Amino acid sequence: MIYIDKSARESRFVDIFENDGRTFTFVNSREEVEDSKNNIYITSGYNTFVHRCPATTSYRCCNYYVVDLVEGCPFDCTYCILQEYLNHNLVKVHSDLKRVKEEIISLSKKGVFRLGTGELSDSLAYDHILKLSDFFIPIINNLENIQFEFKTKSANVGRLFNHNPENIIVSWSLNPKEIVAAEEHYTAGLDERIDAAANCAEYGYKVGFHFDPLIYYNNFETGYEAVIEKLFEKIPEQSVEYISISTFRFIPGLLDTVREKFESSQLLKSDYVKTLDGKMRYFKSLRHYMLRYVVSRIREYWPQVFLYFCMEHESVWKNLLGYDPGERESFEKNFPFYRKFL
Amino acid sequence: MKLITAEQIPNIDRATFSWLFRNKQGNKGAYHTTYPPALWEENGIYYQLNYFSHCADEYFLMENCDFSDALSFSIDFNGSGNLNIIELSNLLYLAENFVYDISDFVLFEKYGVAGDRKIRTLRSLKDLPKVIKEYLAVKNFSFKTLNLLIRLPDNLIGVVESYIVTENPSVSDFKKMVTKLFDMKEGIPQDLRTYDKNELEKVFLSKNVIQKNFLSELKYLTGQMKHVEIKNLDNFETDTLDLTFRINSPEDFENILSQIFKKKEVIKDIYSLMEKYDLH
Repeated sequence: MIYIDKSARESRFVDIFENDGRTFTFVNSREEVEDSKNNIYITSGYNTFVHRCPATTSYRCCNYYVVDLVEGCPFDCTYCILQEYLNHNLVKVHSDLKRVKEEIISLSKKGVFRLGTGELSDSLAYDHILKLSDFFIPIINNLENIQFEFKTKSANVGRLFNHNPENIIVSWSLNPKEIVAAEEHYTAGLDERIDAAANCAEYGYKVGFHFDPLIYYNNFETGYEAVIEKLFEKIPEQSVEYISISTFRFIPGLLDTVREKFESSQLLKSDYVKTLDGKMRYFKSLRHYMLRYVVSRIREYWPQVFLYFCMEHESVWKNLLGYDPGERESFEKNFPFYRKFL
Repeated sequence: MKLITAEQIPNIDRATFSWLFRNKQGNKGAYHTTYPPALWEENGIYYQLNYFSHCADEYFLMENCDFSDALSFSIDFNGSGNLNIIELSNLLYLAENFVYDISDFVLFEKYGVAGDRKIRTLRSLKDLPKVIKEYLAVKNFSFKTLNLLIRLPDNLIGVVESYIVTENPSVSDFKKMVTKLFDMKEGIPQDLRTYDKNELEKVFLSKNVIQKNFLSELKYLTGQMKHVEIKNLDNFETDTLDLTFRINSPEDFENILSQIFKKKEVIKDIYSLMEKYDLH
């Protein structure tokens, strides 16, 4: 169900829903909306929409920027940090698109940035309803120095084919079929995601992939190898802008939520250690093993694609990729998008 | 209330309201009858509200009252300030048995039982084996742990039961055991129905074989450097080692340094080990 706060009655979303013949209800406040993942709540509340991805100095951060226009996700991944981070289940959408646009343009005046909407939500899960790709793509097409990423676990890419994108990346989080089935509830299947990526690549989009979080389980090697083989079969290397790889990490407390919400999860079958930024991670030896395995498999097929680790220790970078990318601004210079500005 | 004799009542239901769950010490006072037991009648059935197993010659019959009054009397008589979790579970069962709206039951709120999940957990405690109930009644567990306990499959409830009998665990150990059993339940043989430390450790070890193997090899090496404690303080996220020793005199200091020098190969071996495990 879609609910629109009366304070957002003038928003672009009302026009979209009316044109599409979608049913929606005006409400006086969020209290009137059942807190369910099936509900979308449009609100005019103030927010700082564009900001740098939070990170610590203990692990290497890529200096990514995020647009937090949508908070909440219809998917229900067991490992999702939003379970701890947000105080609601419903999908909250801010209506102040004018301000979002201003903030993006303002950012573009400060330098070269990579920006995306995948931090507090899935970028495309509701694109057929909210049509945010129609909002973002024309803005980005006019800004040479912003690369914008739609990060998703859906196959909901239909609207992307209405645009001629510049500097738009469509990316997918990937995990083996059995992990998708067990841990990534309500998301598109692995094959659907890769097919959607292939269609986007064929249309002309640059695509990205996130092996994040890598989850350790009994068939880890065969599971991830199968994903990589499938990617190689369907996606041409030159369409791939980057691939991130990182193991499962979480704030203490998440596993209690997992135990409470789900009957079973592969996440509960491993032990974790407290690491330098206070987050829990697999023991470093195991992280090395997992990352080394995936890096080496990808390199067999795609030797040139830019690979990076999200929030990993410099020693892991040196051991597995042969260099330390340095901190934020230094790190980001390694991305293909920055090379044309060097 | 009016006083009636036992002969005036055809039969008395002493079981339905019998919600107290105390050890013998706790029950002692409760069954030292000063006054005749109280009865509440509904649909021709006389429910005994206190001194539950006690048969008397005379009873007080509560008049003009409903289930809520009868329940309040029963609870207040025994004292509502120090109920254990099994008694709360019994009271929930009793209230629901009489189709009483438990949202009106302020007692649960007082004990922090709010929300569907906690109510569901409380409801399920009733079906646990007596050994587990007796253990829970005298300990203090969070609903988080209780919720995991009641969601264990039947064979693992048997394991918990025999774990209590065998180990009489502390609250902390019990909580750890229940959490591990919940996490690893699919990996535990379904025919395991009693506590088998070795069998369970095999399953639990699979949670992090690499780390345990490393720590075991490390322990062997660090043990060779007597009087010097060798530690890594960040779970081996970095390769920094802390060496700690205590001295009481300059001679102690020299002895320790001399020992460290003689055993300097141990440090090399530790770093080799760390390298083998991708920690250096």
